[in-house]
Amino acid sequence: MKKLYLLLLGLFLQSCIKDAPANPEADIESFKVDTLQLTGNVFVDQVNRLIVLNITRDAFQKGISPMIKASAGATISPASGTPITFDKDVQYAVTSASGENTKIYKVKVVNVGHWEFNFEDWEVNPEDQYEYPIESGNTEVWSSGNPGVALSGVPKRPDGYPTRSTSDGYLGTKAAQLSTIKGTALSEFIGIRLFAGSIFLGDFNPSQAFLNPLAATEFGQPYVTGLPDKFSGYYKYTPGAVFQDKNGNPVAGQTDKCSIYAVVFTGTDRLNATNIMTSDRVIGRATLGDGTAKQEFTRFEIPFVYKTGSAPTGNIQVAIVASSSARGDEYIGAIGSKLTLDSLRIIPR
Amino acid sequence: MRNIQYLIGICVSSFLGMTNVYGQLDGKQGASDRITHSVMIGYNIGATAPFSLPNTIRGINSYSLLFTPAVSYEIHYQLSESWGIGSGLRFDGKGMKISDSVQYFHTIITMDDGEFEGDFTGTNQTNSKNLYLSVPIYGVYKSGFWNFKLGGYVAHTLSRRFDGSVSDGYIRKGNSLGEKVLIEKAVFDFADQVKNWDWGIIAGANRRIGEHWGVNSDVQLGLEPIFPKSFRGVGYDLRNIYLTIGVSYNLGSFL
Repeated sequence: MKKLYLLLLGLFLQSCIKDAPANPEADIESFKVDTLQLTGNVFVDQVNRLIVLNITRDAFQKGISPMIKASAGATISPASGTPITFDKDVQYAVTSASGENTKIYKVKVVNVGHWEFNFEDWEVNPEDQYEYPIESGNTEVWSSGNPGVALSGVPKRPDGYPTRSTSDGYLGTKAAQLSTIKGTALSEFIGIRLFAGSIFLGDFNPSQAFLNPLAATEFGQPYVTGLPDKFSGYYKYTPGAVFQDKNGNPVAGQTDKCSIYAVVFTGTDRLNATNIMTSDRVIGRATLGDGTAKQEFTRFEIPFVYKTGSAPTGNIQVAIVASSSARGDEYIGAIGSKLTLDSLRIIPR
Repeated sequence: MRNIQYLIGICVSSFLGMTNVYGQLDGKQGASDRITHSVMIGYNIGATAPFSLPNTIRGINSYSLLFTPAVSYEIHYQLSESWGIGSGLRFDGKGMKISDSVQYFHTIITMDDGEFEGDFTGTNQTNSKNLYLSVPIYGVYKSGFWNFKLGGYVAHTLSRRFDGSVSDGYIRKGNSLGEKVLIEKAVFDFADQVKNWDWGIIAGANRRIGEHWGVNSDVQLGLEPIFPKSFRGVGYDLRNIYLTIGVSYNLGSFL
């Protein structure tokens, strides 16, 4: 009897399944450029709807013919394969199969010209209200964990996020302030009880933010002028009061530390937080040894230590990575830890 | 002697008169005779679901029952040979475990300190189980062995469960234009959002088998969505839609 009812109910429910909605998605899913024209892999910035290109000088002058893949059924204009040049702004319009949605992606060619970063200019993400630093020419070379934190339902205002600007910088100018903040009810669902403030050269890939958060932070910007010699800057640091483990339990006798380092590696693929410490593509490192409290701005200048015998040819990338909790990648640290960074430099040989 | 005959005559006529009165009562029944008491024990089968499935639900992967009994005590008051009214007190477990495939399923999760909004595509698994104490009020139509009832109920939520997971898919932040975030598995628990009250329609039939026993079947259709308007975790209204299969025992009018 019960089985019969279940069967009837099942049939009833199945018979109620309606036709599938037309695909409302309008993404550029991939944007392929001849690898010989690249200095770093193409990054499709889905948050800001940008195609971020690191290309050779030659490609910049002659133009490229990208192969573009859009969401299923979506149309794209200009079409995939159409040559584009950079004498004027380029943008792509993607219209979903359902016709209701159109996304505009702007193409941006990014090259770090001067490896000097003073964190003077910041913009606010219009939707989620987190801040991010921009360089001259309105280019975005720095990213942070903020776009990931935005997914966890924090208050939508700049001070609701771990990474933001501060006017308490070196010599009274603006600086980057990284704070370790408490996780949210939602982030606890995936075992994240604190968010360390982070900032890094590279980009944030939100598709990995829940699945593999450490892979979402993609480190590196192409470095086209030989090899760097030193990494310098100013910082001050206040560790938070209570050091906690991954489960949010206080750990007695431990004090949080900050982490600041720069890495030189080969190839056009970016590294991320899962492999930046282990990848054999890394050829040199400059790591701040002392991550303890510093009340006043403290200068550091660290020489890159290269692997012996490394004479790289081809593409070189450099990443600068900093965090208000050195073990923030394991969600371990102290809520309230605060790292302020200013005047970072990569000094060439 | 005449006096005696007269006296007997009065007695007989009084007796006849009295039987006449009782005869009239037989036709109408006394107030206590019109009330019957019964108890019922049964099992609730159904779903906490939208009345009409939205097109964001692409398929039901599995459905299974949870322990959702129904126990009631009911009183019927007979108004005439065929018609009556009924009420009672009833405990209802209403729940299910369902796994479904969804596409562009809109959800907004609000927390103390912020909220998350997005469109989910993937597999959803939900366990819903609430215990209600309800008071039904209905009209009864009696025909031979059958009793039919139609009316409404008001229910108070005694305990609540609404949790589950989303898995093997992705969520688009904000709406279908937002960036894609892949999801392997994330859990949710919205139990504390389930409303304190439910009300709706009850309709059913009872067939008498033997002197006391009967087979009972009724449908309860909740008209009140189980979540308040302010809760937007599920992009459409969920209502209690349950069929009760059970046995009843008529206690007669002993009380």
